[in-house]
Amino acid sequence: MTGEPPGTDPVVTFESVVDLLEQWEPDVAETGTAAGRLQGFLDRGLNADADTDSVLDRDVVERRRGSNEADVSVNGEIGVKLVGEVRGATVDEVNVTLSLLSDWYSFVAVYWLDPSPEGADYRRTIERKASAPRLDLRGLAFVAGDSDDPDDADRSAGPAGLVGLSAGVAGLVAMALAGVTVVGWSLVRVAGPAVAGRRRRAVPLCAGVRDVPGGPVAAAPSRGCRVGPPPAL
Amino acid sequence: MTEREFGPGANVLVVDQDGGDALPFCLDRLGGDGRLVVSTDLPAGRVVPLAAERGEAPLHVLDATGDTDPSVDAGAPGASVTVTGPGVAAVGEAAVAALDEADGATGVCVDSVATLVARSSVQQAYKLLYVLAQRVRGRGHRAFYTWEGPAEARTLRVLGRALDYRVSLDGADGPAVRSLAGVGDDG
Repeated sequence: MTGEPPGTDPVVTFESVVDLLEQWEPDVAETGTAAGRLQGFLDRGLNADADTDSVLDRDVVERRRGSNEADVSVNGEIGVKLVGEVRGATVDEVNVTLSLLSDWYSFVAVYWLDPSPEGADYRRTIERKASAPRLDLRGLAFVAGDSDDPDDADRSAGPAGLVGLSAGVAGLVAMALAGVTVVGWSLVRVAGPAVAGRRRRAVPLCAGVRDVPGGPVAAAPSRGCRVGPPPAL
Repeated sequence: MTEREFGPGANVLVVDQDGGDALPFCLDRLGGDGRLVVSTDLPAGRVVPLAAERGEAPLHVLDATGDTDPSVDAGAPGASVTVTGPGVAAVGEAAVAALDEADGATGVCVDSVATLVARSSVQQAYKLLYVLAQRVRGRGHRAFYTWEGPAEARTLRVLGRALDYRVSLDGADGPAVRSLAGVGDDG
């Protein structure tokens, strides 16, 4: 890069978008209405510290329309797709949508508007199949809104049920898994981020990252598990 | 739609993957009360004679090559030169300032977007195109943005979202024009 200001790394911008999605409260389950609110939320969040004297300091957050399009785009290259209820019959549809989006965006984030436990298996199926290298993306993330069902957290935590543990126990387990996670982060860094994130206060714990033909993918992303670069300190 | 019909406010991406033809194509079509050429590759000393052959409207060259002496003289009547830094942010600031100061409808040529992407990123280049395109639409200018050399299809799709038309110069049958309005939408 030549004389570019700090904070213009596209991967960093994508990570900021994912962080904001994890904080977002959609309030409505209808995709169209939610998209308009998300546009405003991302615009405010990404540009809160923008230097108004610099014409290129602001990130461009735009509403998009069309089933083959993202619902919101950031700087043209990042697409955010809002997905409502997922059932067995719609898994293939979502997979096709992801494939189409990869023709138009280098980074894609999917936000599950309806994270109900009934659709958890289907969402996990989609997340397991998708990976940034497989879709020729530089970054891919899945973020879920909060579920009203208090049992959802435990059921979505995967076989280990780590999120349901107390903070102290979770901390010990986190230390034990730290080595696996660091290796995972380094693997993901090489091929670009593939992020599976959920808005969650618990310490992020990742089941691990497996290397497969075509690059590393998140293995069984679970609630509170984020596979990607470590957060900036 | 033919390439002669780009009206006021139009933003056109000119793609020439074989290279060499995009800048002359744009210079031939600038028109307007004035002309602004943002050059990232060719120094002003080479752009001014090329533009002088292709129009009579006052010409301003924004030299963003990073190699030109800031005290350079345009060397032609009706032409002026400003030297700016080569970074996308510097180019954006200077181009916006030049457009804001322009009197009347201006023909703009940004040559080349490929170089801007190479110097920064697709996202930074998109932001620049978005900002310029907004001004061009709002003030009735007409702008061409060149892409010369090989291009990833997705990169051209991303950048094209900020603009209105795309012209390909690579076909055997002459320039191929298509509208980019609503591209990706199914409505």
